[in-house]
Amino acid sequence: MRKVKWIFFGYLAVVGALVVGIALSFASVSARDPDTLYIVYISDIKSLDPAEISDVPSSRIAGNLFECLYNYDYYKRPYELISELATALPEISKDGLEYTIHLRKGIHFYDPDGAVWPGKTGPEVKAKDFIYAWKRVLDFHLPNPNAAIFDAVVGADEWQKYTEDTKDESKIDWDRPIAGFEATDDYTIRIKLKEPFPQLVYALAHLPSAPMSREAVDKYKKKTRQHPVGTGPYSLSYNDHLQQQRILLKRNPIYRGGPMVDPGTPVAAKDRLPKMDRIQFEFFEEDLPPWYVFREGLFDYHGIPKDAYGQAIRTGTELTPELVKQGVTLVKEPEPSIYYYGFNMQDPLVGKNKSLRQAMCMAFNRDQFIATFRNGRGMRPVGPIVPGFPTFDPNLKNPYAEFNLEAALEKMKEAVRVNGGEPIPTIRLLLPGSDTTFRQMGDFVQRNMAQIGVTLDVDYTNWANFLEQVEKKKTAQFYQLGWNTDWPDEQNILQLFWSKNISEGGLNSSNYANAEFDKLYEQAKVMSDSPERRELYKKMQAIVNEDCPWMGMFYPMDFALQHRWLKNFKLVDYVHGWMANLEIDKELRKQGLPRG
Amino acid sequence: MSSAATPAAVDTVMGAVALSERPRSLWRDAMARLHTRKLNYVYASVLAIYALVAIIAFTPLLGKSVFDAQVGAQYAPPAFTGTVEQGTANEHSTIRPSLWLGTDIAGRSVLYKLLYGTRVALTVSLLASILSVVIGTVLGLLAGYYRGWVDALITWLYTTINSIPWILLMVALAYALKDREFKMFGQEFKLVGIPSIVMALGLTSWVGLCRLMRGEVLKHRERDYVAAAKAVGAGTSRIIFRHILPNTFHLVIIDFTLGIVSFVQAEVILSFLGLGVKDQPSWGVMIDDAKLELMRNVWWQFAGATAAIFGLSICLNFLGDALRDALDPRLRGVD
Amino acid sequence: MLAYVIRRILMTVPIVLGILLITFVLFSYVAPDPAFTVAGRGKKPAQLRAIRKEMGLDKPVWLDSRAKAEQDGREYKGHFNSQFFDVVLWRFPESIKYHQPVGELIARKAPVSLAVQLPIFLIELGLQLILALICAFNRGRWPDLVVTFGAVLGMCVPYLSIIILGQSVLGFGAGIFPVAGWDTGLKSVHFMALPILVGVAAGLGGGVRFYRTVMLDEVYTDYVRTARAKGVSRNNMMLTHVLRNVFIPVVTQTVTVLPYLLLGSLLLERMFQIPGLGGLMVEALFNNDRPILLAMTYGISIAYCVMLMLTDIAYTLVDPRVRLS
Repeated sequence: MRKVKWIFFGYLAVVGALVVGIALSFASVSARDPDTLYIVYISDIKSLDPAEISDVPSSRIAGNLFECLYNYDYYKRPYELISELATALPEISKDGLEYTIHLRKGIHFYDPDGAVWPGKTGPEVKAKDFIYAWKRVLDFHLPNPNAAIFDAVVGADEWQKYTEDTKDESKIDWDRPIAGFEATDDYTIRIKLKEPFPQLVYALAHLPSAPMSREAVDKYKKKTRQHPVGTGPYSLSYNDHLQQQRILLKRNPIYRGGPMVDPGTPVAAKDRLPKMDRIQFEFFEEDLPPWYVFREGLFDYHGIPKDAYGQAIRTGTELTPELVKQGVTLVKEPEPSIYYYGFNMQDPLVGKNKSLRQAMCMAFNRDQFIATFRNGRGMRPVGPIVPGFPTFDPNLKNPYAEFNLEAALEKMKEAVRVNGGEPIPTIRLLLPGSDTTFRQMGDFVQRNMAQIGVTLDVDYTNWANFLEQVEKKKTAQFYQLGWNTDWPDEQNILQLFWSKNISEGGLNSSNYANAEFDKLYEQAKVMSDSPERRELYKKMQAIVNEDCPWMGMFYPMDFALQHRWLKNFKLVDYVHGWMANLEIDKELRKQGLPRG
Repeated sequence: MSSAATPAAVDTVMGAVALSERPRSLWRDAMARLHTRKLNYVYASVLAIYALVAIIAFTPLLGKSVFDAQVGAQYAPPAFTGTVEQGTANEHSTIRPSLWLGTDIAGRSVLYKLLYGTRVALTVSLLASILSVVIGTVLGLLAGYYRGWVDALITWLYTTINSIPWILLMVALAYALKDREFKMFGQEFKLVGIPSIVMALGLTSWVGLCRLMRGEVLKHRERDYVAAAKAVGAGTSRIIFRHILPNTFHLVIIDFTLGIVSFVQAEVILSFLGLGVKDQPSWGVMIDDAKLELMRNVWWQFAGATAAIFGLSICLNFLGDALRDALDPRLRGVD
Repeated sequence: MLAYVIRRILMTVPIVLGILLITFVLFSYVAPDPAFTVAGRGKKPAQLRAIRKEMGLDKPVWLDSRAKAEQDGREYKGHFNSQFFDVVLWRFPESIKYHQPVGELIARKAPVSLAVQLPIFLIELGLQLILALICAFNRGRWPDLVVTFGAVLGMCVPYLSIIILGQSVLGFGAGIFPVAGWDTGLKSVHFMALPILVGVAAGLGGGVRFYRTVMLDEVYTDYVRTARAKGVSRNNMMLTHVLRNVFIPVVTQTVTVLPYLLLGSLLLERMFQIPGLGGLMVEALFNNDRPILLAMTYGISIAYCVMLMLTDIAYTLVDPRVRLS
């Protein structure tokens, strides 16, 4: 009896202490820190090593930690290049083959963990650091997808071959020169190209081209992807990055105060970047909980960001009167991206039957799709060239981008004829996800296609499986993908149709091959911006539109909700390090959401 | 202790089971016990309604053309009546069952989806239950009867499976089997995701019953009636399946009933992880969909599916309890 | 005694082997090519090959020898037999997705899962025993009926629904609890309240029924009847004799559940964004992050086996009769 009592009271004491402890913790809950910005993130960070970053979530974080030679102006549209680590835009030789770039002086690397340089402040950023970083981008051993940005550089192929032949990574001689990259002095870089590559200047504003410290990489080796050592406005210490939980960026104490600022130049306090001391990203896998957290005013803005692989489109909400009352505003910006259903052109059924593809494209009710799944946050695509690009024409006539059931049914007769008079067999649509939205979208397309007698078998799978089927085995018949452009030049999209990009894991995942297109592409590839090049781009788009290797879904409209205390918030693409501009009105945030 | 059995009670709820060779008195007794609690009839009739709905869902009355049809606007809230023949001269308001539980993102009737979901839920859970019960029973019988290395092997198998967290094993198997095609009897089986779920659930859930059966058989094989059967020259399989099985069958029935409940719930978890059925509405998928809808205060799909699962589980649970009380000799002295 | 202990330990060996075999087949055979997960888009075939090689995917699945590996000039790792030794020696490669030692990840996430699951378990167990006791006391009368009925009702609501309800109503609607999230160290405590509440509410029913049955079994044993006949009061009877004998099933249940507490609840952790092992496991499964999956399956399964073994041995120490059965 005594023992029983003893256990009982012991238990009561433990549970009581627990309950009291938890209750007490509520009293000590501190409100949001006034000097920290709070943002949600929904996709895990794959890597913070610029050389291997290719996904949006990773570059969104790393963009705050690294800088490149060039960047884009945060406020200006259309996007305008600014010189960040360079003093000015490159001096380009007449034949377009030689670029000369001068660097800003006095900018230092910063190592937040202090493992490379005890004082955390590293050496000055010099020309060799850029060349080292670019060699890494071209290193065969790094699982990086960015090598293509330097394809045109003299000696890049040889270097890639050399790294591939050097089986042991650690034996690579980093001092081995690449003819096309030359440091004429500590602050001057000369780049030589085999053929004109007018997009190079965009590539130099692209995060993978950020300078890297060889000392830091040698120190951290494979862990470089968790130990970012850069020059950006913020820094991230290893212990502040908890996977699947949160990322805490802290102000880089030796940052010069703005991208266009030379070190040592005084900057007025109100213009000094970054504006906030810290940015905390909190990880959420599900959509419902962070939405509630935002509604409670605990996140400063809530974008429904592009997902890791440009795959997920999430249903959100329109701005309700309730939200308007709480001072929430909607921020919009067209995204230079496109989502599409791709046909596998090597497939004996859909690849060889143009009429079938055209019929399916006409049977897809994009306007209703956009209304249903994007709340209207998207535009019906008229071709692969996306909004914001010079040759984009919203009024382009593309019969296969319009919903036209009669024409589709007419085309279907032709499709059946092409198919030898046999009815079209079931087509398998592969979707890279199986969550609610994918399921509903799969349903939608299925019903659209049923109207013209095409039976779709929708297959939901995960990203790894999806890639395997689309890019490795090439067994996917019909699949959903998206493309986020890397820079505002049409070539970046049109490369997806170039037949030389068909390979295992290649960019041309619809395996589209058209000799005429290839000829035009190769011609335009070496041209710099001119009316002639734009003509070529338009012609290429017309070819693709006629062949229908893609069934366009929409051009997305990026949107976000922000609370009234957030300042300087704009939705951007291409720009890195833009979060340094964000600012909180501390007084307003302290007041919280307006009541009533 | 027990009330006198009325003959009429024998062929009510569990009439089919009474066909077995088990001494009649126990089954009669069990029936009588079930009969004494009138609530059991309520549970049984509710279950019968679920079953009926599921059967109707196999007919065109509740087929794809019905649950897939657009009946109203996107996310229309529940309403008793609705307008028909909109835009025509004959436009009028009338009672529309399709709108009783509102509509979903594509304007489909939530009620019809819910009713159709009964078919999916019952198919999945019945098949999974049958699979797990068959495996558990056969292995349990074999292990208990043969003992020796057969027993050692089977015991090893179920102890191993039992050591791996069930949820991990089940999810991993569901993931591995997802959308696989099976060729059986020259025919291709790909019942849009259902077979893989059934396999994942059934193959991982037989351990409890197997262990129980084994223990029970170990006791029974020493009983007189087994010795008698042996004496008259009955073959091993005859002894196992004609003599021992009927005497331990109550365990199977109880496990079967309660198994259905847990499988209905497991389907929700699988749907949440994106491993559920596709191309057709299921309760799990509906609850999963509702996560996003709740952001816009669309609650009807969530409430409907939750209630459907609740109703089915509660009837099965109470009936399972009643069956256990009625059938399990271990608890016979309790009342 | 020592012989029994040794025999009991030996008995776990084939089980561990079995776990190894099942997980290997599940995670190695049927999963998609993880090289793509690592590589992302726009890969050259040669690079993919290199990644596969680095991950040991180019090797025979079942058996391989060190000598043969050296002969082929490749690293020796990653398939069943070599993996087997790795696991036995508790060596796991780095996580494919996170590029971090698996041990480090688990060490960070296991306490988080435990911080939520242990209180749930403790509170639940106490409430379950108390409620079951009330039922057993009043067998067949209204408190029993009410509690049993309530328990079944609780069991019948889908777990996901309970979570969503708790989150929307108690968290967002009423604003009593934080909706979801986690912090570091003690700052996370107030985030635990709602998950604990929801967890207890969802798990209460099953246990009440289980313990009620166990207690009722005990109430109708001969010794209880004898004691009652000798005039021991009912309350005394319940609290001493019955409760003491119910202890064994309770302890067995507790001990076997402990390793599972580490795993956390998948749904709970995902919806409340608790950075525990449950979420890690789902991610690992969908990314085919084999090192994590292996470490977690083995870790938890073996913990379970060991716990079971310890209880068995402990029982033998307490009650020598157990050894006979």
